[in-house]
Amino acid sequence: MNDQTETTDVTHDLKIVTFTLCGHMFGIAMTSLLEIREWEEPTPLPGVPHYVRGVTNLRGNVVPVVGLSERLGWAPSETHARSCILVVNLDGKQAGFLVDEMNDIVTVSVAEIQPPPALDGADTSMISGLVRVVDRGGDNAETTQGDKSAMVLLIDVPALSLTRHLDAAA
Amino acid sequence: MSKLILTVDDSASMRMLLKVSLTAQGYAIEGAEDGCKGLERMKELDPDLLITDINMPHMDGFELIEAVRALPEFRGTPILVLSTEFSDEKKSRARNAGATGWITKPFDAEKLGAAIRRVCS
Amino acid sequence: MSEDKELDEIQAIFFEECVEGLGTAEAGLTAFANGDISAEVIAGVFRAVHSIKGGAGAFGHNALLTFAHTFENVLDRVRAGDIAATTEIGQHLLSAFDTLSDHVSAAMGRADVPQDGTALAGLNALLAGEAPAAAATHPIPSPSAPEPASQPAEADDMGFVPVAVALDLEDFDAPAIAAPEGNGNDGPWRISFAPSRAAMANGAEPLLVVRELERMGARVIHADLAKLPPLRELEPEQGYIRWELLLDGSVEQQELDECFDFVAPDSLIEYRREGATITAANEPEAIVAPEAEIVTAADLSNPDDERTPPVSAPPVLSIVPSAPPPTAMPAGDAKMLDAAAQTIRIDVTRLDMLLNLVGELVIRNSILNDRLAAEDQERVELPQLARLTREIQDNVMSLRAQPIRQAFSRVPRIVRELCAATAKQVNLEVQGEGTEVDKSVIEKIGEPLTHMIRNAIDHGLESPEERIAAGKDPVGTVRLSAEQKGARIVIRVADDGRGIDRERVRAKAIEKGIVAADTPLTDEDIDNLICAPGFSTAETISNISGRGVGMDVVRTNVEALGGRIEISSTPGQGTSFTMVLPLTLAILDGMIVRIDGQRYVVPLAHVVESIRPNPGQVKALSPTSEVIDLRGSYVPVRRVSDIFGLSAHDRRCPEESLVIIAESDTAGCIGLMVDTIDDRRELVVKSLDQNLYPIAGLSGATILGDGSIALILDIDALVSAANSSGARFTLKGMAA
Repeated sequence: MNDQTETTDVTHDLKIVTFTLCGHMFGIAMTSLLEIREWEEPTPLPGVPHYVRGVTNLRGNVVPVVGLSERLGWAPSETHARSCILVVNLDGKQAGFLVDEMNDIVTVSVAEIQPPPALDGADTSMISGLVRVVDRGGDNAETTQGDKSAMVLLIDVPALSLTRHLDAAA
Repeated sequence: MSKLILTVDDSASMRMLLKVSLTAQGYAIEGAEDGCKGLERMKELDPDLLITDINMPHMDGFELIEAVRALPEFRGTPILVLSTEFSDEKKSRARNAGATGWITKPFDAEKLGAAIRRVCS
Repeated sequence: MSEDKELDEIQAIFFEECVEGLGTAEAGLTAFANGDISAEVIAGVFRAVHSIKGGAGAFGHNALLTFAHTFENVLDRVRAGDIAATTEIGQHLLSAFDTLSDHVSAAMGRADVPQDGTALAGLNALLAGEAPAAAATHPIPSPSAPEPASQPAEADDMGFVPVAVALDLEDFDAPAIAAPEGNGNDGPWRISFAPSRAAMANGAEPLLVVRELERMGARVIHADLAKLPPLRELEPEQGYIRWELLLDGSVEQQELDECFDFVAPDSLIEYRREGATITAANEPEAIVAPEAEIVTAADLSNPDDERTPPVSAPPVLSIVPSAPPPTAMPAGDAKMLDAAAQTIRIDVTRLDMLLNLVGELVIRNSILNDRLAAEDQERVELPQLARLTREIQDNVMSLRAQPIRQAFSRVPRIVRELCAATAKQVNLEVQGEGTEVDKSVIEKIGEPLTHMIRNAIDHGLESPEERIAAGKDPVGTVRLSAEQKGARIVIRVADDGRGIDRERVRAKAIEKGIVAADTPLTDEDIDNLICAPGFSTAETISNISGRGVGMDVVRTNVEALGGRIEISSTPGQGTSFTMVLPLTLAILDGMIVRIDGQRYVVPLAHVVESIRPNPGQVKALSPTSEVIDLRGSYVPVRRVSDIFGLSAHDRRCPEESLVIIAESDTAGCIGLMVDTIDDRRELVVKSLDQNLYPIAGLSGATILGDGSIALILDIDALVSAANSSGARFTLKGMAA
């Protein structure tokens, strides 16, 4: 929700939280993030798209848990000890994203964010931009020639449209 | 320092409407919902201007004005009446009670601002 | 926050106030119409209507403003004793009140603007017909042209009127508005202003008026200090200076009038256009002035005020203060104490959030309870903590509770309308309006309640003639009551009418094929037939309640709320309909069941019985469908996991399962096959659409004592789905 507005303001820095999905590094704006929780198997729901893994109890709220990897079209995440749930705020609604591993919180300059290149046949509608960050951990992430910097795909959280019934029914 | 105005009106929407209109014109606004509360708030806040409704429970606007004027510290504090009533009898009663001026509801923010400027520097 | 949004929010508060105000006005007018004509009652009604008018003006609801204004005028005259406060007038006012309510609804966008011609004419007739003698000396405004038409334009009419002015007021018709424009009269204004001694009374500051004139573009061309005494003789509150100002001619006279609005009436105020002979007055010949026409700052817009004595015009300007008007007011008017308790408005979502947090607290408590041994529980004072937590939960629940008065408030009007339509006479008695119910319930009982009231008056009560013939009071009584009994709320509508004609009900039910002719029926059974779908006993179905449709709907609605309807009737003495409802819809009595490792909640209101099937009691109709033999009738049996398409890895045979017979409100029964029943308890209902969207087959979710989530089954939807073979909800596999 804030990725969009903040990228337009090129003089600002943007804090992003980075994590890995299928070995690729992704990021979302810190402003969307509410909290990070350990993975817990959610209660499955009937009649929902495959990427909605179920609902979980978050401080008394019933919150959907989304397999972010499959939502983005990658292979479904295998859950393991380092799996966690990023709880995000999405237009006043909450959702949990299953991610393979948390990586870091980094500050990037908005000016350095590149729009995703248009590629034939690739659906990049859920990616708001690309940015290079210094990698301080995350063995799984693609590091480039030992210079310890990595490319982060910034996720356009509203574009995931998790709470729209029509989209889910499709 | 912005001027402090106390608005006394039993309608919360009217108080808020005044607050929005007048805050936009640079005034600081406090509110009270009836004459009794208004009198207490007057003593507590010592505002630069009092704007009061007439028809209110517990203590109406006339009584409030009289009570305020009876206190020496408020002898020179301007008081505007803001009411839907516009009968001469009521206006005259308000002036005799000690009101400085009378504004008829519904008010228009600009005219209200002008009215305030004429009683409160 | 944008200003528009802010205004919308303020307007929402105004509408809440309108609803409260309407409630006050209706209660007062009802008391009035019943003969309780006290100054307090009238003042209360007046204030309520007055506030509605004030807000209507502020938010630009002109139709509402116009009507409320006329209504208020009538009330003002009643208050002043100019219109006799009779019960008959009370009835008139009540019907005007109904139109006012319609206007409020229209302003809220919930209805079209009502046709208020008749009601307005009625009010104007009251104003005209009962006009006080004083008005005879001056014509009052024509009733057909009510003042509010010009009222919004008077928004700028600020000022004190009671000044006598040395002008012929008789010929002076509202100069502030009637100032002629565009006739070449746009010479610059020359203004003289000499504040009087009184000009600084009441906290006024004449200098600010000069400043305001300067803001408008005026220049002070001369300050006459001739009267200024030596400093030691100077009285700070005395005015000594006379200012002369020049102001651009494009400023309208009305603006000048406004500027001097608050200035003490005995000050010298003159303004005239230089080099012009026409003044703002529309009848210049009425003004005699030495050099040019002079207009005073006095507000002249009320020429019909009989207290302003007409003064023949002397050649000089003189303004004298009028005598103070009588200050007598109806005793008690101002002092009336409202019973309104101190309140604070809170966004409901915040309350819900609080409820969630407290629910979480309760859950954490029970987790601790599970994990700690009994002696450890005592050691850490867990029982005390649990009790406190429960108390907090109860308190938070009570915050959502509201008096049922809100739902009852529509009833008096319905009764009035029905009385008019049926020519019956009804005395409505209301009890227990203060009973508090969760807001979710209040929002939903309106319609059933309306049907019950209509039914009681249309069908329960006899005509006055019939009642007299039966030796009864011609005025029938309808009692509406509410009381809390444990976790339920009991709402009763009782009439003292003819009672249910059981013979006729029975005959009709047989004729309609609802019961077989030889079915033995108790009185209670017969009474309950009234709520059967498609039943109708009225010889001619009236257009008011359309019996049969009405009570059928009542039962459906009440059952949808998890409640039930009870009917009792005594021939010749009356009938009572009782709704028994849960106190809240946020809390549900549920049975927690386990199937294939998942837990679900079956709302207890739907559970008929639970059965451990005997061998052979569950029979397969096809490889995918089963029925249970329930004392000779066959009920379809489904596993929730099958309905949802959940893979069953550990399928139990029917004899090791339990079958819960659940009844839907609309589509019959279903047997739900489950592995075990874990618990039966009260649960806090959480909606799925709060963070996702509604899901077919589920009515929500709840959080169990261990913090996990159980889905609440929507029995109606499941029964419909089970009965139509094609429909199947799918639940994704667990091994994703």
